[in-house]
Amino acid sequence: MAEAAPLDDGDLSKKQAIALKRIDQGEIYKQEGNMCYREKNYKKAIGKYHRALLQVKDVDRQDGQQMLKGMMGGVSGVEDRSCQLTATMAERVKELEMSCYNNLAACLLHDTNPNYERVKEYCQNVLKLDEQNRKAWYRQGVALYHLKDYEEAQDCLNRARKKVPKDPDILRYLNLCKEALSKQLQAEKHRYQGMFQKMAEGEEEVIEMDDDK
Amino acid sequence: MASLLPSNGVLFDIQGQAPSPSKDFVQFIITLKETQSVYLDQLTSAVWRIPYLGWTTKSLRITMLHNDQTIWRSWRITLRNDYKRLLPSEQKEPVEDFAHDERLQFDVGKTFGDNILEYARRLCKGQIDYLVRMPKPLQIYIASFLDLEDVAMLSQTCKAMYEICSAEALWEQIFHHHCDTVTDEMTSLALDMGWKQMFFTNKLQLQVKLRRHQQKRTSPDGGSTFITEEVASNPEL
Amino acid sequence: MPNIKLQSSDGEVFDVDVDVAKQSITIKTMLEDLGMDEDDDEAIPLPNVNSAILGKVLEWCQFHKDDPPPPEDEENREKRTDDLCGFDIDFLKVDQGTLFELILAANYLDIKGLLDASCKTVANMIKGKTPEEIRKTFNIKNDFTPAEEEQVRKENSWCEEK
Repeated sequence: MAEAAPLDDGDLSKKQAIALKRIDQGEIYKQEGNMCYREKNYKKAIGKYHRALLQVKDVDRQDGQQMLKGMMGGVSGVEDRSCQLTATMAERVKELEMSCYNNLAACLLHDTNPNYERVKEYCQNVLKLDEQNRKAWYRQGVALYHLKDYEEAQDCLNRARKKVPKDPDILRYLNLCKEALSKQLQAEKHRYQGMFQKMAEGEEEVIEMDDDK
Repeated sequence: MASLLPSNGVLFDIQGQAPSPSKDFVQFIITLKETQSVYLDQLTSAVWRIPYLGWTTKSLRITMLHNDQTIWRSWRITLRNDYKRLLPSEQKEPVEDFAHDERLQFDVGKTFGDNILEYARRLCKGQIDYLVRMPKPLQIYIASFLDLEDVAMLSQTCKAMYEICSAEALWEQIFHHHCDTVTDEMTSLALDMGWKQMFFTNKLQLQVKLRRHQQKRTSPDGGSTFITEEVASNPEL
Repeated sequence: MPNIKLQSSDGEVFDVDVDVAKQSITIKTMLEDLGMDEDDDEAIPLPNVNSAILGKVLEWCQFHKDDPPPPEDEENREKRTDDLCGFDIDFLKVDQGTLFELILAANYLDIKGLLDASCKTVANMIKGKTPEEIRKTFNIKNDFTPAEEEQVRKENSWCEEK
């Protein structure tokens, strides 16, 4: 007695057709977003990229995973059920999500008062899908610099630089990080110096007290 | 509730062979929607899937239940003649009739067993197995609200639920809820032995396991020497 | 109060108060990125939610719009299922199809309160039942062989009363 899977071939192709339509629509939104971006209409572009992401979210009904992993304190154990997307479709979804998050990060950086935490989050989303993504490393570096996490920022920028060693923007932010770090170092030195001085003074007092004895 | 249901309306599809003496090849399908074109294709492919073509005569029956009708098809195949020329016969009746159609119920029960018959009866009454059709991460999330006793009960219902109730993500949570402190060592050990396994290890054994695990991690040779010593000095474990 | 337009998978457009829609973290994030004040007239398509379910979801959001945000310390919180408010209990007295669709929608839109309330309702339908009773409740098809069933029963014998 062989039991057929509850979702047979006919069903799969129909489900895939619906998924395909959503992926197509998502790509259209992304392109519209790119057009708005080129016209420097960043707000409108943000709206388009978010709409694109909503098209492909849960498109294979497996996306809940990410959210749940967060809720359940991480660590694997939750496997995928057989994915309903073909390999090409899955690849398109991945590409779309990557470029939308990357472009959203770019849009947000154009804001007068950018939400750097959000930029960082979006870059991390990209890097989760593609560890080699130069733009995401660069933008995450910029965000971290503004969040005053200079060492992490330097690390990100250096990763971005590996691909394009002479990119002026990357070099500029690396310099900014260097300056900020040396300033931090100076400030720390100053503080420690003060502390040592106080300690030294304290010691003298102790010695004097010893002398008294 | 379209999205949890398969879009072609096939709720259930099972194939098998009726017990002796009939030995009929049987396919039993329950659908919600009218999607006939699909079935003619399936019918053809089903014929090719029959592994018993060494027999002289076979008949193929396809039963379909629609929201407003039941379709009954049978196909007689003989190897000696050109069976491809024989077309399936078809008979339709309302889905509600399944509850009264003792003949069909008898056939389903005899071929596929009482569990399937019971399942089919409920499906035809509109009671659809949504829980089993949910995405796995959400099933695990639901299970995470259960008490231990209920997890044990749910795991005995079917294979899919058994898998959900054994998921590491679930047991990691259960472990965290039932133990006051979960140290980094414990987390690391859990990656090795699994949270569920660790939960059912008694406290004394857990201490020993933790110690061995730590030694294994710190000693360069993988801790093999430590383990032998440990076992030697703890013969009761 | 500004409104936004949400469009269900079957094309119906819902004009929603921003404060209500913001219960969805997905929508909230989008609005924050847009800078809130942006009055975008173009509807936001939600292809994973049909109009019947989206209507229910928004009804829930409307009732809960003044709720305090959920506490952060998720992990070590005890998982209770008897803490549903009266509104949620009545709200979730629906057929199983609707209940499970609400779970999917809450997950898609990232509405933690609704996700938890609906999952707790399902959990309460499981609690205190024998395997056979659970099968009946959710029409679960027993696909264990008798030998497997015995094996699984033995594995879980630790919880049987002695």
